[in-house]
Amino acid sequence: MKGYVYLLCAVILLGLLTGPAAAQLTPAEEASQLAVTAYEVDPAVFIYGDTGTIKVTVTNTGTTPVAISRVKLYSNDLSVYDDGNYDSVGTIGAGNSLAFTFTVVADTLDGIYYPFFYVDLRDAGSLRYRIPVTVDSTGLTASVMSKPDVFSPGKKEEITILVGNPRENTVNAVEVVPIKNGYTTVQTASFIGTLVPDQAAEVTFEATPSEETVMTFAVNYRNGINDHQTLVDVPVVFGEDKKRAEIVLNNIVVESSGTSYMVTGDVTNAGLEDAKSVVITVAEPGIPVDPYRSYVVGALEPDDFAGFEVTFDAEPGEEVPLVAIYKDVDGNIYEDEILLTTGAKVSDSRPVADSGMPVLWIGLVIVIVAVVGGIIFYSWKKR
Amino acid sequence: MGTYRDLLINPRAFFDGMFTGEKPDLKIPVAIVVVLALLSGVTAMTVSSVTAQLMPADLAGMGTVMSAIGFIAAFIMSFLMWIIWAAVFHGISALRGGKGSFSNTLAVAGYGLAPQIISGAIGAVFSWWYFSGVTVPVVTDPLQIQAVVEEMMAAPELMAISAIGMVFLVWSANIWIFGLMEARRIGAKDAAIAVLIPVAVSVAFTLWQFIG
Repeated sequence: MKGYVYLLCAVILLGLLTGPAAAQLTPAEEASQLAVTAYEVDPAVFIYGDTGTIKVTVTNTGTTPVAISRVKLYSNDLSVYDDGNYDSVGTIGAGNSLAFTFTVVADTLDGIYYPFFYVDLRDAGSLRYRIPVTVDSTGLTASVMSKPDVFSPGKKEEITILVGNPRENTVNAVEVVPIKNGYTTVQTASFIGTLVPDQAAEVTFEATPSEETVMTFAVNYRNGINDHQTLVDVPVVFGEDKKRAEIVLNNIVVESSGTSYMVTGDVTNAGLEDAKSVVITVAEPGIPVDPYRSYVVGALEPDDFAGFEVTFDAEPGEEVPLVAIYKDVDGNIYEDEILLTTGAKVSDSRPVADSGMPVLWIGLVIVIVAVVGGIIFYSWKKR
Repeated sequence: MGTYRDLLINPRAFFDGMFTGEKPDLKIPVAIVVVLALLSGVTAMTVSSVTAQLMPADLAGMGTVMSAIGFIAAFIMSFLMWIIWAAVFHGISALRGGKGSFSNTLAVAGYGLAPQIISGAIGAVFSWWYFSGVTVPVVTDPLQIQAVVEEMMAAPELMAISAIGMVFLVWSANIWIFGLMEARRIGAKDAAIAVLIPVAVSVAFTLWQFIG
């Protein structure tokens, strides 16, 4: 019995003596237990000036804990801001992982760079790992897909903008905002959201220019936490809208209507769009008079026509503008006019209407008065 | 009794001794009134035909009827005016002590209308000349017809024709005065009163039409 006790003590003692000798690893062995099992660069592709993060995961693949003194990220091209976060790390247990995140700023030219991840072990060993980081300053593209050939002041037109993502990474929070300088839009902004690489999205704005200007639309987006902007310009040049309603006045007949003139005719919409609220009247020097100061034709579809009559006063021989006033669907007012030449009025249309006429008549009356007066005088004097 | 030339320029001689018989001969006065009525009818027909052109298109066919109505109305009106003149002269002269039959006064009134034939001829010719040169407008509003007619009638030419008519009326008045002196056996003053009062009223009415 006493022999078993001695044997058990000997085994325990042997264990105490040999145990520490087995846990003791060399620095190279310790380093070999550590492995970079994952890294993440956010954003995946930097744009010049972007701020992002590089997250590196280190795993202890061995069976014994490994003591880490500090962890660093070095780069000659990118600026790394770690503020000594990982100057004292501690021990990473067997089978455990630790993640280290560094802030970097891509203040360098476009290219692929390899920052140097360094793990300094307390027992003189180390782990080194290079992480590829891409800097590509290509921004989103924005192009005008459709716009009117010409603009008209105050007329609402649709403008479609195509936003594309030529980058290798996804961008998010994409929106298009009109920068209003001399125009107004119905939509204050149009949100697209996320654009994956090589994806495109269309947005449409209803814009109303008030002056000849350059409409600028800003495409705002985020690459990681960084805001970026791409601008697209739409020059506004006013001109004759080729599709607008075009009022034609024809079959015009101007007649003297006693104390005034009456003009009758046809009004035709020779344009491609509807003419709303068509009103026919005369402008100065003509003076509209009752009963038809203005003639309301109403709406005229393309190629539609209607008759009208307008009464007005003017001096004979004057040129009086006959004006057609109409609106488009947005309420913009347009005017087309032709000139009328007024003829003589009823009282002026006699064969002899010159200024000598009254003198002739007065002379005739005087002669007759003289003759009759002479006869009466003679009749009373004669006995 | 003088010649018909005396009727116009020496009515005293023309009417001298005319009303010594019981009944005057009214054939000549009636002939004068007939001629005057025809001239008035022609003038009225001219004016009516022009007025008819102001009517809307669906009433355009009424032009001939309106001209005929105008002619007949003016013709009858001339005879009525003859009788009215005679009645007024007869009534006023009676108040001034006039004696004699109404036939005498009717004859005087008829003879006195002789200058009106000249006036009527001038009026007919110049009315036709004037209205043939008028461009008649198309009036869609019936309310405007009156305005157009008034404007046409207010023309200086028509006013001159009316003025000439008034001068010839004074000429007629002169004949009427001498006629009434004989027919009603009254003095020149009473005859002048009997004639000039209605003539003045007629002239005033004509002037009021133009001024008003």
